[in-house]
Amino acid sequence: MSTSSSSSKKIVLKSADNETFEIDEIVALESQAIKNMIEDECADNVIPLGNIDSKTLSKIIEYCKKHAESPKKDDNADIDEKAVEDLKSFDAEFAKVDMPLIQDILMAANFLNIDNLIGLMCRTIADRIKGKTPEEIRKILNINKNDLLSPEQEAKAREENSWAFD
Amino acid sequence: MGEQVLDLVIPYIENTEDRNSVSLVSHRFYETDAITRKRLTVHTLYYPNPPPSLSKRFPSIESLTLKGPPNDFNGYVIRLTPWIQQLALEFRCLKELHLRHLVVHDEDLEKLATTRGKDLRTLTIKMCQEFSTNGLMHVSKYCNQLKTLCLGHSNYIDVKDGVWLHQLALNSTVLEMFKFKNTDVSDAQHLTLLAKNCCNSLISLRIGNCYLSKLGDAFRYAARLELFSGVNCDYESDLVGFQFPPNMRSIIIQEMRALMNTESALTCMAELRVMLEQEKANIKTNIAHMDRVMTPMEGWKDLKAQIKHGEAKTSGIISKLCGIEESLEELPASKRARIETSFSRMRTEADVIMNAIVNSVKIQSGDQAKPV
Repeated sequence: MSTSSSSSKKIVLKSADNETFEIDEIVALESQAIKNMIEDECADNVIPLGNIDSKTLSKIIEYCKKHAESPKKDDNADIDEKAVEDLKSFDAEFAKVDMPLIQDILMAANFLNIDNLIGLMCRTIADRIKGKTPEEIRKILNINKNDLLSPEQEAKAREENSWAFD
Repeated sequence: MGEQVLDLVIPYIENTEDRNSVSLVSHRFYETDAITRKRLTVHTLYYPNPPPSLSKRFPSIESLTLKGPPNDFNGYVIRLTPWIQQLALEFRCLKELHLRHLVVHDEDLEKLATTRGKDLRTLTIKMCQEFSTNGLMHVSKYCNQLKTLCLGHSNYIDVKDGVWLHQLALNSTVLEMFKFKNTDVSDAQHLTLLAKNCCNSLISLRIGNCYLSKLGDAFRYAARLELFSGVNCDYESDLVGFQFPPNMRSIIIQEMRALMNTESALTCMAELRVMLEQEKANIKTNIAHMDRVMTPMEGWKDLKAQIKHGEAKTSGIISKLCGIEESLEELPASKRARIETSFSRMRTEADVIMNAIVNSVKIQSGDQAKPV
């Protein structure tokens, strides 16, 4: 994915599977980690992201572009309601992807330090396990079966859980 | 992967049921839930004594809510004492404690205050019994980081004296919300001191009976106050020029409505009095007027005007009477009684005058009907 505007400074991101993405610097600055790199001048023309694949990276760039284009709250106290609503519905649509990709995006957003995106992915995952049984949660998050509680441990945990209810 | 994202997601899972489910997913999930669980609600009816391993399982609890059985639960009561014993030793992260429907002794409050007191930010005690202001004295002395102190109005707090409130006022500088329904009238000076010392923090003040007129200084100090509720015992005349702080968003004053109704009833009655006096004077001139000899045409024209006039006057008087009656209906009985006697005298007088108005029109029309 590359952007059309040529007036602003460009940054190139390279995914784990060696795909390159040329983006406007302003879009890259949505990531606090990249921002720090640029400010410390330790970013060359190409920033390699060895732990993020191209599918995840292109989703993250899509998110950053949208958010970079939207008016920021601190810029203008009375930005119009429409822009806020627009961003909200973008986020809602953006989160409609399958669980493995959500988890990939979350881990990548955490690495790149993109606060809003971390929050969005965490809320999405929390929503999807809401009201679910432990077994359903295991399926949703694809949990390693080697780490399950023994029947005795589970009984103890259940007993302890009965202390706590609202 | 699921295990790694959990560390990020866990703060977003707040619902207790969901937390309980998460804890059963795997070892890793159990551990993560246990060390990150910050809020806990325990129904003490099932656990009158705290489970010994409670704080081992949840070592980071910051907010604990202990609920006892409701008041009408077969006379069953739960004492806080065994819980306080454990709170004093463990729960080192505790910042908020909420107590409901429990038997709380002064000694419990003392132990709580002297062990966990300096870290407490919120203490709410609702519908609990047995303790007195002697116990609250310890809270005042040691819990000086409290931002919220809420003593619900259904408490049976034995108010032995106001020294605890004075102590609270002396020791507090960060209190944001203070609720205490059993306020004693003489507490105005303590509340003023509290408002002075917490002038940069106090946002919400909810008290019981008070004389608003004595709280003028408190309101001047509490410049950040946004919410006030109380039961005012002043008469309206004592509140002329009374001012609340500039940022108020909510003012709930019981009786204030009664004051306003009293005022509107009294204004209405004063206006009615003026009308009645005018009519008394008019009736005399009307009689004089009738003695004048008029031509039939002049008489009929005048009669029409008189009827209209009479109608306007009587309906004016009736609407005043209704207005007063409406205001009176919403007043508490004690205040109504004070006004009622003079109102009923006025009502009789109004009847007489309205009759006179009607009669004078009748007499005139009778006169006009006669052939000259």
